[in-house]
Amino acid sequence: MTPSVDVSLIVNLHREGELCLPSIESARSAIETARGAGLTCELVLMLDSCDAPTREAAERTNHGARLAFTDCGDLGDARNHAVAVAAGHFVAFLDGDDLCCRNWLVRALAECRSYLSLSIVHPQMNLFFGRRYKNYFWLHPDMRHDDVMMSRLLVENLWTSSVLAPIDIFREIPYTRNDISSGFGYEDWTWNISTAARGITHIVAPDTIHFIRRKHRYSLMAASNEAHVIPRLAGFSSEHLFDPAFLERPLGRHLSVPTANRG
Amino acid sequence: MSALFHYITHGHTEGRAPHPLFDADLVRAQTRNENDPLAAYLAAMPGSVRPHADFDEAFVLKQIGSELRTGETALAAYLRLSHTINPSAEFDCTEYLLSYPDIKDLHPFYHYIRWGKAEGRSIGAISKALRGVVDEIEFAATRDPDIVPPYTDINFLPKVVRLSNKSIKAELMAALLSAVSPNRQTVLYLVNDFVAGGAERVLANLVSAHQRDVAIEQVVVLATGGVADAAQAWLPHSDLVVVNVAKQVAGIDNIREAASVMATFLQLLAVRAVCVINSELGWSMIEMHGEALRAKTRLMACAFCYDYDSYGRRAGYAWTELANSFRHLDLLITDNTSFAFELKGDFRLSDDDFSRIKVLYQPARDAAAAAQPRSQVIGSGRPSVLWAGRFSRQKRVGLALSIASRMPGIQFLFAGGEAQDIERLPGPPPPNVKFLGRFTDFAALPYRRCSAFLYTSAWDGLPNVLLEAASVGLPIVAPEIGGIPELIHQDTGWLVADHWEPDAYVSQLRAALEQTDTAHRRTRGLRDLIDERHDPQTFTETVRSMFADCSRPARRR
Repeated sequence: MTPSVDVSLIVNLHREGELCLPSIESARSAIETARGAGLTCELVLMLDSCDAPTREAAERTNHGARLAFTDCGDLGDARNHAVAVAAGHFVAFLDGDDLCCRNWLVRALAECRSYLSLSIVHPQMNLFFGRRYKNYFWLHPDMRHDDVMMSRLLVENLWTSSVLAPIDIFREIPYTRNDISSGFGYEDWTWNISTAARGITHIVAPDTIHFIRRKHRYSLMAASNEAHVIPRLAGFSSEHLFDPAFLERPLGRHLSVPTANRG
Repeated sequence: MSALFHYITHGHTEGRAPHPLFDADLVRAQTRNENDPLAAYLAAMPGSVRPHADFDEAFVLKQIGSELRTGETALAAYLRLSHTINPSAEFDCTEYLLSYPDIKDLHPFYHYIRWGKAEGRSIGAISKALRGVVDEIEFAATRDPDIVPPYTDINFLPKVVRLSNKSIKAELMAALLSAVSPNRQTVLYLVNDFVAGGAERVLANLVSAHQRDVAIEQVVVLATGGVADAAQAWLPHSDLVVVNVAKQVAGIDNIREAASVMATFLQLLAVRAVCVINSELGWSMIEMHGEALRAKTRLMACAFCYDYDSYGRRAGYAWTELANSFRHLDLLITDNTSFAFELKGDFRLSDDDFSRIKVLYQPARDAAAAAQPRSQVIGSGRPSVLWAGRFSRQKRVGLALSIASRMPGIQFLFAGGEAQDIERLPGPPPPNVKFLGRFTDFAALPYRRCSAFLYTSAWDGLPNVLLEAASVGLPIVAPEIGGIPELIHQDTGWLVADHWEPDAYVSQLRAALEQTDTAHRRTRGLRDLIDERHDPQTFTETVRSMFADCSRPARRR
């Protein structure tokens, strides 16, 4: 069945409690802006092994959102589950305590559709914020303009988990499961590596910004850093990564990389 | 003729500019002086004349303040001071540096005027991006009080552009990726460097055992901590990839980050086993990422004895790292049984855990030099005693010299130290001592002229140099420490129980030199033990068997 929805905006919820309220509001604002621009959108609240306060907050504030539930207890699996239930041609993810800008879906979709190569869109900027944290801006690189080398992406995550991309990319290259006790994590970083290695271009949407909350409690990032986890790359098709010609050229400017099917 | 002299005498009349940031026509227009514009600028009140259209001198002076020296122009002060002073409200130097890391140490404004402008570089990409999202920031700030705390000027919040900085970690990853083949069945060794020591001899033995092993298609040795290369000659010259990444590792802020890079890299390889030998990076990697890596490969490490610090406390990786890494190791390789049991006690290992310690007796190299039997030398002419090793605290050179001073009728040959090592010795050496300098190959030492081998180490495993001395038939006098009694005992040599006492060595040395029949018997006994337990072929088969088990990583509880 051909989906009739342009974009599914998925908010991943776990134990955010009332911190999810501004996030859901920001997602709703982005949906409303997109609908105003003529796009068909759905808001999906993906509740994975949620605690009661988060569930209650989500149910109280859903404002027409579709609630989906799972007990996989893992952000990577929860993202994949959300893709499975999403109806949109494109999928956008927002973590349950972050906020997106109002123009996010409109600008990201326009950028994705206007770029000829298969692409994944990130917000141009992030503002990291949090109680008792020093706020700062973080600018995302764009493979079209910036020299993003695979050797760099393998050692540091260059983009946050907030993305918009054709749903087929998520289906073809699903997220890996985080397994912090076994030393693996950063499902978004792993996905960024996997997609870039498959020749998909990571770009940014101009004039967009996301607000990334930093916190200690229930922070997957904090837990991952504490446990010294690394991206899970076993089973990853990597032969071309060892080719000096590939290594020395910025990503997004390779012609012979195996490319995922266009959605 | 100097450039300045030329400018003053000819240049300004020819329309030349004295500096890229000095627009002579612009200065002429402001000063209404058709003569030398540089002189006019120098004479003008600071802040009253713009030397360049993009240089707002009044704006700059506000930032420089009292840093302006008497008689100095604002432009000269600007170029002398920090690279982050903005030349105008429109040009943000910090942002330019962030946006264009390739300009390296050049002044950002100078770069922009000299080259960047013509290259189409933007002077406000970040500011422009920020201007494009101001409304969205203000809207989001109404939703959560922490997004923009009150009284915050968002223009002054730090801005991170990840690609603006050079990444040593990325350089390390690139060096690793470009050096190896990904799909070949690989055994990878992590070592510190190639100092000519016992651990490096073990490395050479292990690597040599992999030669012509059809199950192993690639052997990689990564030096992660130093640049010494003396022992590199011990390694086989073919079918071996040797990469020194010490420079990149040293450039990374902390060893843990380097360990994460290494662990990520290993996931991309068809690596059957990883073996750590005295590599701090390797030990850190196993401690931090052992659980993750065990899903991919077998983890091994080598430890031979503890080290001891200047306070007499245990030190070295076997003490500081092994306890935190042992749970991840499939195999800990040591070269003597004594240390294996010492570890069992110190780390309170169960029998199951203890089974993961493998005592791998090292092979004695069958020195061709042994063709001349030692029996022809013993007892002929003035006897000589050979001492060989690093001139380190562990090896107790001072003790050995003290022994020599007590035996003036015997010549002592010391191999292993360099001139500066000898200079650092306390007092002049006895006249019966001769220093031979550094060596990397025991076979090259004048052992044929010697009647006994003296070893004085304070702590050790089972030193390779004893195997080498034994293999050429030298009677050995050695301390009763570490794994040495497993090789040297009353049937194979002369063990010194009170090993801190020079006289105890003197007594045993005299016995070794004077009791010729006993010396023959014991060196033969030692040779038999070497042939039986330190046979190179047996060693190779054992190593191949150990690494053959790597095909299916075993899970431990």
